[in-house]
Amino acid sequence: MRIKVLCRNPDDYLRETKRDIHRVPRNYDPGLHPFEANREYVRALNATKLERVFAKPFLGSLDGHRDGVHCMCKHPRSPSVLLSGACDGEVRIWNLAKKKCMSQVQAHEGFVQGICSVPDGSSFLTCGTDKIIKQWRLSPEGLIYSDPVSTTLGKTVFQGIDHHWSANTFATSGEQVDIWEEDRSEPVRSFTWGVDSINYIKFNPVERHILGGCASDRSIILYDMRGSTPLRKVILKLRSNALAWNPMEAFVFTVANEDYNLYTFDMRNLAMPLSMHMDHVSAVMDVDYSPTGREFVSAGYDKCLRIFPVDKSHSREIYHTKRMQRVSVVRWSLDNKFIISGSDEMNLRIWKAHASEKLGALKPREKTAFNYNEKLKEKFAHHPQIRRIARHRHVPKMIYNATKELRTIKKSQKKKEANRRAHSKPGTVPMVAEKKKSIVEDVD
Amino acid sequence: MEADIENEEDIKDLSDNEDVFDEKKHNQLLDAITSLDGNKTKRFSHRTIVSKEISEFSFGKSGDDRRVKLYELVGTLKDSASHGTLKKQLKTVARRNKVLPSPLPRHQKEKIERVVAYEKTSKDLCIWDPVVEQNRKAEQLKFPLQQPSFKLQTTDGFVAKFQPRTPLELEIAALLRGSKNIPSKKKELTQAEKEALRAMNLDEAKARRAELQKHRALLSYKEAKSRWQKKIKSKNYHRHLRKERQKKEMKALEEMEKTDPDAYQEKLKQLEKERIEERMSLKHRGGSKYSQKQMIYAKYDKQARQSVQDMIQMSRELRQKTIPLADSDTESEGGVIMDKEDAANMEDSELHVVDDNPWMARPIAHTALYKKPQAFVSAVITDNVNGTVHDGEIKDDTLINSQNENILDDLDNDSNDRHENERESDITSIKTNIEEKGKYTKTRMRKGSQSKKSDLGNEELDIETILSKFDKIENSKNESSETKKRKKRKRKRKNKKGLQKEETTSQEKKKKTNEVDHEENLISEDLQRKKTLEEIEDLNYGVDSDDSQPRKGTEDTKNGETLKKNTKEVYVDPKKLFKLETKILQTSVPDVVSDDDLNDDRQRITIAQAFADDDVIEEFSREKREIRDQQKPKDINLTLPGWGDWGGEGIEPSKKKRKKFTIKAPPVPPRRDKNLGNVIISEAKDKAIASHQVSNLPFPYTSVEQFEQSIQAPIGKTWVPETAFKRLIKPAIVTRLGKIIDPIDKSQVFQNQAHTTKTRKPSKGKIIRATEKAKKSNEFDVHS
Repeated sequence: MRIKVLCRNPDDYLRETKRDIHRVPRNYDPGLHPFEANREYVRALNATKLERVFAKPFLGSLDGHRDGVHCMCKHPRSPSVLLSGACDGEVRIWNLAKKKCMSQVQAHEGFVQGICSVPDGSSFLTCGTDKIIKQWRLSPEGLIYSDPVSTTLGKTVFQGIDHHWSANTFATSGEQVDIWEEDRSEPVRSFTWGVDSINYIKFNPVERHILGGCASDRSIILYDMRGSTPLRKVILKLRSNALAWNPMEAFVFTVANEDYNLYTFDMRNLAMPLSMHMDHVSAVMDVDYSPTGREFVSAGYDKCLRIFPVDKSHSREIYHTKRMQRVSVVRWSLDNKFIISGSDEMNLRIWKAHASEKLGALKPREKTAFNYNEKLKEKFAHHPQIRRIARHRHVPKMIYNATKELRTIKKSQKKKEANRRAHSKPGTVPMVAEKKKSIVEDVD
Repeated sequence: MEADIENEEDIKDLSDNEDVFDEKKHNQLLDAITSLDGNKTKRFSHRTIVSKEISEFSFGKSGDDRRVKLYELVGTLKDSASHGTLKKQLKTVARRNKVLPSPLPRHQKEKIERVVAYEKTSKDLCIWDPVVEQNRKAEQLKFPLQQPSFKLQTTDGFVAKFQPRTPLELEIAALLRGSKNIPSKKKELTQAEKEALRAMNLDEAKARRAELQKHRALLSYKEAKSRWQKKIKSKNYHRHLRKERQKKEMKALEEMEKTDPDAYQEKLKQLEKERIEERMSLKHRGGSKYSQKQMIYAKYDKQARQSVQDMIQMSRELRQKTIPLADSDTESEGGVIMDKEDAANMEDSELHVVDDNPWMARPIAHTALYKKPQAFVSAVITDNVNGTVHDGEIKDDTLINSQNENILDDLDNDSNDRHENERESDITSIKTNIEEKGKYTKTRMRKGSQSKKSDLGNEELDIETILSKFDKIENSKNESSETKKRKKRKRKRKNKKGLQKEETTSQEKKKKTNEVDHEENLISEDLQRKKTLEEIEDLNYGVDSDDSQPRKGTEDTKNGETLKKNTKEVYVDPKKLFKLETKILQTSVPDVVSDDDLNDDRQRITIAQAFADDDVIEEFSREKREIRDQQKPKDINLTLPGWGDWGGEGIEPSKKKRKKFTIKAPPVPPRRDKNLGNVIISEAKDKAIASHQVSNLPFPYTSVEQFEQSIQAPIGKTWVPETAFKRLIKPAIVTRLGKIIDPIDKSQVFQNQAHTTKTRKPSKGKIIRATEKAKKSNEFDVHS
């Protein structure tokens, strides 16, 4: 009798050397894996749960200011250095890595209205309610030389300041928009349009001669530094508080408005915003783009930060803590990993840009696992159980109730409009897009 | 008005040629008078110099009747011929005179400026559209976008950039540029060659040219060949190359022997020295680290095994005493002539020494020839002892084997010296012999009991192998004849040289036996033979296929028999069988031999007995029918008995009414298990699962199938190869902690794009469009 045995060639399953990886023979025939989708679903579910488990975005707070933080500026060359100006005229330089204040200076009497750094980071400029622009030297370690390099006296109060992205030029806003050169004491050029003051000014980081400003007559005004007149203005229903340009798309900018919303515009078509971002329940005070240009962060009087994808009208994330009061200024760090907020209760806070991201060096296997989990979450994002977990956020009672109230208000408004439309002559009550409703006029 | 008057006066002035200074004084006086009464209208104060050129600015717009018209003035000059030029000038003035509009108010002017500036800026910004679109759609973006380039500089690139600076470089450059002998890629001939051609006559030139061309072509061929030869990675190929080279060297050596005996001696000495060195060192005998490692890897790696073999071969070659050369050497010198026996002894002793070394492949063949058959026989015997077989048959078997072996040996020994035809006939005769014997054994096999089958199988195998071997011999017949002829020629040459005949024949014989050994070893599958793997594999395959073929047939018949038995024994109602399509799977795997048919049958019987009463099939089909009927929507009968008709017990509503008032159920789509006999597929919705399922079609998908497919396609490493997995999980955005991401840089983006368009990349239509747009905007700049 012959005995037939199954035998395998050891070469098929043995490692050649001890350091070699284990051979795992696989048959990828889908017929042999009838439950692949189901198993991946379970993996996706677990990944989503873990993401929520590890979502701890708050990294720390920086205290030291003796009044509310009013303005903030990133160091253009060193991601760990941050400059902040307070309502009592004090400017502080922070080291984010050490969570320490490196130096401080009493820059102005009254508010520090604006602060901006020169492109190489060797000095920075501040302007205050005392009608003075001061330029300060900054050492690479983040130390301020106690005397300003230059002091320029203006005729009116400056409300905002921003530096050109490459040239030796900066712009201030107030009763008019002035373009200055660092080595001159008189503005090179001044723009006026109407009588209202301009409370915010920002240079376009891509097309660097273009500026955008927010005026107190509820308008957003665009300027070209090279021309003699402003470019265009659009008037919204309520005032815009801040403006941020998309660093990757030259013509896109977003404004933070008093009507709880943010509006993203294409500067070539101001008659209608590209999208309206709504989730805040109070006035939005500041907005800043991520350096990748895919997302932006906003914060305001509802004591929370929200992160919006540029093309979505609702936020993907909300950050809040019990102690954080009205947030007046928020910035996204230049390496796309952190968000810094400054609020009325004199603190700066550091947050992670992605709440559950593991910071620091990752092993290749870890990296692969994270990437795989991300893709799984994306793939199964529409499944109700996964969406439910991924969407869930805890919010303070104040925000929860306010959201509910706003929802009711909006609902009733809609209902009223629908009723009006139903009971009037067809065509007399036209359908207007929600995002267009807030635009009052596009003035040329 | 006053201005008009003044003009009038001026013209009069001109016409009358009065004194200029008086007029000026008069004007000043008038001014003084007018300024006295406080009316501060400014007047033009003209310096009136007498000239033929008339300023056009002094002619104001005449809206009043009292103003002097130009034609009136010119009319007065009608008769005077001397004012022709003046008239002409006035005419041109009249023609060109277009009054500029008054400037717009400031706010309007600014508005227009703003509109123009805004439109221009908007247009300028359009160059970003393709870039933005590309970035938005990009599968993956790695930030910062401007990564440093790690491109290697090519030689051509360097040459193109190179600028001679130092005096030496300058000198060389001057020489190079000035030389007429530099070939250029575009032109066929260099400057110098052209000149030379010009100097020659036509025929010469043609010939020369052809020669040159040929030379160049040959050069390029050679270049190309050496290039690709250099690229070949095959060790086998390089070994062949080396062998060839060595052969050539040997030939050259032989040549040298005749032509240059001194150099030949030198060479020999060198070879001897090499041999000594080799004997001293362990270089090729597993002494080096590399070879030790290779030895370890040899277990798993074919290449390593090969390299070990090569090394050993090399060492053997190096250590070998060049006997034939030495022979010839001694002969030429007329020294000691080695005896036949002595040589044989020496070889024998060598063989013995070598026999201990498992790596020494060649000499073992010699001894194996004699050992093999006995070993084989003994193996058979032991086999038979283990099994229960009659003695007589064992003897028979062994006899046959030994006979076969003997025949083979005879053949091997004899055939060498004979002529081909004879050999062929021999082979055929032996073949027939063997075949007959095979038949005989086969017949006996059939008669014999089943338990002996396996042994007989072995026997059969032997016969098969022998037959196949004969086939091989026949195939290689021509080849061998050729080699024989060559050998004969060689022999003749040697005779001429004066070697003793007997010696050579003995040597030849030995060689031949060696060759035969080689062939036998192919069959014995000895790893230590110097044979290529392919050959061995071919052989194995042939044996296997020969072996497996008849077995399959027997098996089939067996299966058929068992099937028949089964049909008789197991009770199945033939009418209640499901109609199932038989799937024929094409597999290359042969069916497994089943020797335990009896056991199987027994098991089947017991199962049949155990489930004798269960009519499972009937039950199942009934269940299925029930479910089908249950889920079918039923007609709704709305007839009211007695409505519009007589009612009461025993009275049925009329057929017409029933038909009228029944609502027919809509036709049901066919069930999914309609054509599947042995399954029931539930088509009811599962509420428990519904909460986990997607209710609406998500945005980018256009159909449910699409979405389902996207969900079905797995991403994980478990179901997808590693490379595909890596590609699938690529994150859309990659950023690094602490790495500053600068805003997109206009100059760099468009510089790159310009570069790409320059260096032939028409596939990127967007970018081209972008550059066009940019160009247009530039044009716009020029126009405005």
